[in-house]
Amino acid sequence: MFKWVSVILIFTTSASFGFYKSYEIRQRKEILSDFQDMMERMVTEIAYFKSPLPVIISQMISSENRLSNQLLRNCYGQYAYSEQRKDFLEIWKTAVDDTYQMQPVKTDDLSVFYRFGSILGQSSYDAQKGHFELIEKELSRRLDDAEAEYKTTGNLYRKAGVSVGAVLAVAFL
Amino acid sequence: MKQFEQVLQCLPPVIQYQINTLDPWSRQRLEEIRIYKGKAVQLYADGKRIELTGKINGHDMQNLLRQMIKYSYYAYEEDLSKGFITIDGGYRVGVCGKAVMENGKVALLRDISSMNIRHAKELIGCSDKILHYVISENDEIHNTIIVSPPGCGKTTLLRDLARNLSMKHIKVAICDERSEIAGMHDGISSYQFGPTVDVLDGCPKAEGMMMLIRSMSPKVIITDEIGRREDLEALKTCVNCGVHIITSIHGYDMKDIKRSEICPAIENNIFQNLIFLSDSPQAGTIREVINV
Repeated sequence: MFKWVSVILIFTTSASFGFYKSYEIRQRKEILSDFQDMMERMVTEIAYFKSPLPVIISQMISSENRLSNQLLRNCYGQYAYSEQRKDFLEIWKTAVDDTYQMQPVKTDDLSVFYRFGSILGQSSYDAQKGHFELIEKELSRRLDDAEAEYKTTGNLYRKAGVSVGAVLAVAFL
Repeated sequence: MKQFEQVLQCLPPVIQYQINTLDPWSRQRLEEIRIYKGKAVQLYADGKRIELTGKINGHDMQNLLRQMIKYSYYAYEEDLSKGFITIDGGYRVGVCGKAVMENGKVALLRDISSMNIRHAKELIGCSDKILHYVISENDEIHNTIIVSPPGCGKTTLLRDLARNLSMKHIKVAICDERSEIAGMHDGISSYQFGPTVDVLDGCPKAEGMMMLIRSMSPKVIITDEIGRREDLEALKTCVNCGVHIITSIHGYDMKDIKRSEICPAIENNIFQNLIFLSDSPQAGTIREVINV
């Protein structure tokens, strides 16, 4: 009985690990896509309303349970409620760190997130537009990369998890 | 006043402290905060100059501007190219620096060298003494122009006139090109207006006056600092549409008005009242009223 329980446990652990790693890769893709979506909405709001950043950010905050929403809420909270006025760059960087540090994103992904904040509001809309396009391209590239990674590495992790689990279980038997 | 405290928060702590510890009389009458790069900050309270200790460096200057424009250059680029920004609460901040030209026009100001934060005031009741010139006993409104050099209280007087007329349930529309009269913030005015005031915020006067006539059917349009040729055309249209005008213009006396673009409006007696303000002995002093 103990033997069979152990075999099931070994197989389940190995397969779960594989699926978990695969899930992490999928999550990265979703985070990038969510950020890209938020960025596009923000750029549209800036182009259309030309409202100051705190106004745009506060209007974009919704009740949805998305990381980008958490980022905006964090950003607005730091801007509106901190006693000592902080620089927006600092606010954005802290908000990105707080929101994404525990998430399965790569350092290069984070540097794109930082870069978006470093451009926001720093110049006229026309001047910012070019930068936004560059970041948009970079994000799309990273998203394609995440997609490809999910298809290959994600698949590999799932299969490897199941296979290794099966091999270990057989070996244990 | 609360919003002005927020403006003060943008200043370096040492300057904030000195302003906050001013004697109550000066603090209450604060008119301008003049900031010069590499020099001491100068305050003007009731016409008197107060020099603060401590100099403002380039970093402080840049930081101050960035905080006042809420890190959103794109939202203020047009205003900045004209040499001023209007921040929440209707406070106008004049900006000086190196002008960068594009297609013969000022595109932006860089290397900011000085700023002037003007403290917009709400003096409820300050227009009471001239109200009988503006509105007769049978509620007939007279077109009025307020004339004075800068800093004599034109906008404060216009603001209170809007409140007074609105309290009489007269439909008042404010065309607030520089966001100074109504100090709109998030769709709400920073000042106490009556129940019937429509505010078109940030819209060029000539265009705004036409929009208000077409859309809001006002009885009176209030606008600040007219003086361009297109303003004259808009004034004529307003009067022809039966809408009354209360406005202001920079100038000292009748000669200045006659030299301005709106001289034909004066000659054609579009305005029934010309009210001249002075800052002596204090801002808002009515020097002369010409009743045409």
